[in-house]
Amino acid sequence: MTHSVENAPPASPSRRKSFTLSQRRYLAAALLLLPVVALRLFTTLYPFIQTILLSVQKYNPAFPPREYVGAGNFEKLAGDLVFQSSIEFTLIFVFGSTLLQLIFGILVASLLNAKFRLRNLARTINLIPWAIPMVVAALGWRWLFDGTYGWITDLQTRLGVQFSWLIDPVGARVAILIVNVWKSTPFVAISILAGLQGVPEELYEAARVDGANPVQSFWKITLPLIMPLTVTIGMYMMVWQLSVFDLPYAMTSGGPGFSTSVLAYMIQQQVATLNYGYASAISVVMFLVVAVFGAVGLYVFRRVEVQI
Amino acid sequence: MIAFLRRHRGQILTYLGFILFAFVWLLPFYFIVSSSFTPRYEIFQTPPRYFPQNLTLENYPNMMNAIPFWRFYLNSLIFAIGSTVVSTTFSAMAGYGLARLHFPGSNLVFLGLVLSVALPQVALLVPIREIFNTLDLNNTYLGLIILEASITTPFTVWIMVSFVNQIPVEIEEAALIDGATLWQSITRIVVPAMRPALATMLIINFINGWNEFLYPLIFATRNDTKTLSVGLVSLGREAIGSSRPWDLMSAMSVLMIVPVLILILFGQRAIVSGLTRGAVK
Amino acid sequence: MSMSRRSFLKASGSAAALALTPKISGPWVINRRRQNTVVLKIQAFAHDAIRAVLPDFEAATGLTVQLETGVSSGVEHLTEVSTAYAAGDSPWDVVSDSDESGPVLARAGWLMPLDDVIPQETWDDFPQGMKDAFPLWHGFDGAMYRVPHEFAMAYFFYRKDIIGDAPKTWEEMVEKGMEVTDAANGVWATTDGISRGGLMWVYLAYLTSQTNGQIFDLDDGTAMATRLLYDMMHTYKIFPPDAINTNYDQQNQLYMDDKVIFMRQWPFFQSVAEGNTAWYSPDKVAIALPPAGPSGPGSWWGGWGFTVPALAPNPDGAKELIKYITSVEVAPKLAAGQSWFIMPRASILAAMPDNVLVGAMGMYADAGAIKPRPYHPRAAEAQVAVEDALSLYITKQASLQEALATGRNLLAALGE
Repeated sequence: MTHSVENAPPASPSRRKSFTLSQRRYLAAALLLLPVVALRLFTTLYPFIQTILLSVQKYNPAFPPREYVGAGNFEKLAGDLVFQSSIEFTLIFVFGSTLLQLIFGILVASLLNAKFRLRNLARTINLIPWAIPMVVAALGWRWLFDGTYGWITDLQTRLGVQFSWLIDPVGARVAILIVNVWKSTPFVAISILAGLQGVPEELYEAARVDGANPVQSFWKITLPLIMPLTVTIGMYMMVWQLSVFDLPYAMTSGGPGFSTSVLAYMIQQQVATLNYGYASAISVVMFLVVAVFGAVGLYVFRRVEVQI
Repeated sequence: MIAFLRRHRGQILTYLGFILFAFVWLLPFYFIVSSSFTPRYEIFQTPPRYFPQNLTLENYPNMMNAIPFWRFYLNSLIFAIGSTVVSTTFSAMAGYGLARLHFPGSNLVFLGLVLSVALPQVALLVPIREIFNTLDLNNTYLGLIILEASITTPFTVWIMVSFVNQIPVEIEEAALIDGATLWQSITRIVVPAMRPALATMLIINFINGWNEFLYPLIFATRNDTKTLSVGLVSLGREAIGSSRPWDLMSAMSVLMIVPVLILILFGQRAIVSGLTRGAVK
Repeated sequence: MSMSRRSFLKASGSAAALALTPKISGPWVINRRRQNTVVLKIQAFAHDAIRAVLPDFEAATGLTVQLETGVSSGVEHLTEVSTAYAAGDSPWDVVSDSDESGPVLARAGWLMPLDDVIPQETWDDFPQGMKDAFPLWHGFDGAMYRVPHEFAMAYFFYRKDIIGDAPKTWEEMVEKGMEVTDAANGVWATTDGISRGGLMWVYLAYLTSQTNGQIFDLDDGTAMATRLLYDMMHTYKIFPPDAINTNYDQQNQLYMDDKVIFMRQWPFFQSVAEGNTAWYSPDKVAIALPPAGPSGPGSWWGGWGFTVPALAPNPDGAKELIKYITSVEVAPKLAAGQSWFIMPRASILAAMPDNVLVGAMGMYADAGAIKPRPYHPRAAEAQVAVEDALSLYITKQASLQEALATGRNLLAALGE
């Protein structure tokens, strides 16, 4: 039974073939959807509205009173250097990581799609960084970068390069990016692999007949065909990586100074010091950043789709 | 020789690429595993050793003496399995409902669910903290499972909807015409047909739950609910003994990686094919 | 309005919870502990000393004391405990709280007032100088919330076996430091665990106490202190730049690996060093006055103290335990077990007149080197703000003037 369904030809567009509507169907739909919708309302929509309300209050349980301050928190943010640095590094982190992950993701996906004997092994290896918990990865890499005992420090010293990654503000930022790209490229790679598998073999055959070399057919055939998918994944990664906070938390504690603090980390720190109103104001800024990413992403997505 | 190289240029490049890829992907993994079997005095040695000279197992019992390791392990398992089952079940239900049972506004509900992933979890902490205080959900598996299940549903619903859309609707229609109830058609036809997507999402959601750090950090402050990820970070900060306990932390890390590694070794095909068929259409 | 929202939430939430969960005890739904244990949270290095005094207590009360570890940075400690208290829950019955956490927690109403718990005999055991600081650091609104168990004043430890005399001034420290530093072999004149989270502030406040400056004013004295650290690190190269990622344990390890010649460190190091029997000799951890800055030698004092969370799961057991471990009988025993507990309390001074640290305390007092801890109502945040700003200069991201101005802005933004 299962078998016959799995091997059935690709779905005919099911939307047109829907069952006719009936009240029982509405009831069934409501029952099926209720758990997820309730879960999301309870943990997302209600907190979202509350966050916006909190962002205009001064609220720290240790320093009462709790009061309405209007734009006070946001004015304070405008002059907060940690915030400025956090927003700067958040943008570097999100754009830098995503760009590098897409580039390496396409390269790795090509490897995982190539016909060679170790392909299955390669696909398994690929998933390892993705499956390792972020805090484990962060702490492991922290040791690799350690100024005294780290392998990376030792290797570069042998090559004559004296540099302490985690002490230098730029070095620490680069180190965080390296770890994040290492950790999340695998997910990008398997997602792009799906796209590569969808490129019809005949197109490559035709290109080969026309005398195109593999590099040319990659640029002319593969890339344009996987572009919409790549943009979708890029958007997803950007939104998702905006809320990465465990990496700086476990690897650098935002340091040296506050150079590797990101918005998500700063919010967690403000929550920890009980500045709930201020933390909510930063959260609202984060919502705005997500909205801008989303709008820009949709615009880019439309353009890419039209071009092909 | 040169002719050989030229003929197999593609293959040689592929293998060179594979070696480079495997080296970079596995180096930190090797580092963590080898540290966990290296005696403490050798870890704190300059210049560092790349291959431990004296292998030891003592880091493991030492680590287990320093923290309530198995309690954390149990907590992590309950947290990850609980949230995976809740999230995957709910999402499969919703995925079926959205893909098959169209009603006015169903597209809007779908879009709302999927786009709600864009609200970063860290940005909603303060109100969730207040809800949890009111309902006494802090330090409970129930509270943690609700939160984790919730953040993984948007992606899971997305995959489920795409997957159900690929299952031909005719078989269900035929069953209904033959007199089966809606419930029978769901349990006998739909669930078996969705098995690959369910397997994929169970694995992915388990890994996400196992690796989750923020929610347990904020909402599990007692040892009876703390998870491994939180325990690992606090092990590093609480300085047991005389210095940073990388010997203990690496041993703990290895035991944390084991379950996800097993899932990957056995589930690689399911993950890749599930994502290939679901997500990306 | 908020009441109705609250009750609505509560009603609907409990209904959902009831529907969703089978009736299982334990952390499935709600978490409560047995009433015959008392949980004490304190840094790991103090556990042995505490354990040594527990049998009497457990025999007398029938309670079992369970020890949990804490972090060494006061700021990080605040983060950890406030997360739990804000969740309306305390996993601990008695907590060793820092100067950064104690006053804030008392203000927030998360601690139990101790005036009726601690007998007058215990309070009278403290010298007037310490008592003077009680209202600011240990009490709030006229009530006492924290009993100090530490007189934390950093001492200047040096390798008498290597350099004979300790440097007496900043200039001498730099001069001698350059002689003894051997960077090629990883030997540094001095270092400190100055990682983010308040530890760099500790060191800069120590140097600032040797000027006429006030670190929370970011004044000229603060500038001199910061410049000294910068110069030791980058100009004279006698202080490893790596120190900004290290903590006290690593600092101690370096010292005991013979890689550091002199350093500022808290009193607990005395016990750490003595515990390293293969390495220890009195000449390796000699104590001198801190090298004098423009206003002479100086070192500020503060310290950790015991509190009882308002939400302690076993409040009666907690009261018994805090009364016991701060009593005039037990305080000297703790001090004998771990130098972290040595204070100028009458009972302790009487019990250990020949102790090294008691002697050092006297030497510092005679030289007028004991300075009060710089106060800020939001100590944790203010310390991080100052250290974040000044580290811009230390890590060469800004000039000293810019860094100081940044610090003033950050402090002003904190308010109150």
